[in-house]
Amino acid sequence: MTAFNPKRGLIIVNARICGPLGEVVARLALDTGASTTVVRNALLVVIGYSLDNLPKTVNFTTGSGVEAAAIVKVEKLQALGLERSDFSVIAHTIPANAAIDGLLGLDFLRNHILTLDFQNGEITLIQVPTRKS
Amino acid sequence: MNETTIDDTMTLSEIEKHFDGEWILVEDPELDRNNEVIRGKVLCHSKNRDEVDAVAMRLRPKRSAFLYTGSVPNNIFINL
Repeated sequence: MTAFNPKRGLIIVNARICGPLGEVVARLALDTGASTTVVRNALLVVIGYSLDNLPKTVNFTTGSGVEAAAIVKVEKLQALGLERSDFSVIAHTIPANAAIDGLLGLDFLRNHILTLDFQNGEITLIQVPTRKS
Repeated sequence: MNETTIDDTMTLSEIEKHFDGEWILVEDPELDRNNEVIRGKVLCHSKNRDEVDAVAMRLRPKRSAFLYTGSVPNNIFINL
């Protein structure tokens, strides 16, 4: 169980992101409207990814338009008790006034049960039990 | 922007008390099970996020955490 402020603002999740040169804890907004997880460029550089020569291979649609963006496969992304390895994220220059380091999107949450309890300010993410055929 | 020379680690409550409304880069953070920082060494702090990013990219700490001790202003609506 992870706590959040149910009264106002974004749902902020602390995510531990690992790369070839280190690891960083980032503030990601839980966003079930985002198909893909997004991480601030600078954080990816800090943990060892070079973004300079990375081709911008995806079109990233935001509320303000469509931008080309690069995909980075991070070694690990761990949040809400779940760890994903070799996980692809979109590298993006998140506006500084957003007070976040990126978005935790649906690709991270898939195949799990996400519960947002706005009464008690609690998030739970649990693995779906394997169905027996 | 302020790079610190504080060698001692600070607890999260100490960090929040000292650096209100700022971005803070913490080295070697001790984390709880939800990746919340319990304590760590403050490398720099600023109200300007870009300045903290610049220090982080220069120093490249092996283990670090970014904290924000402010809140999103009521007149800003985020819709990426």
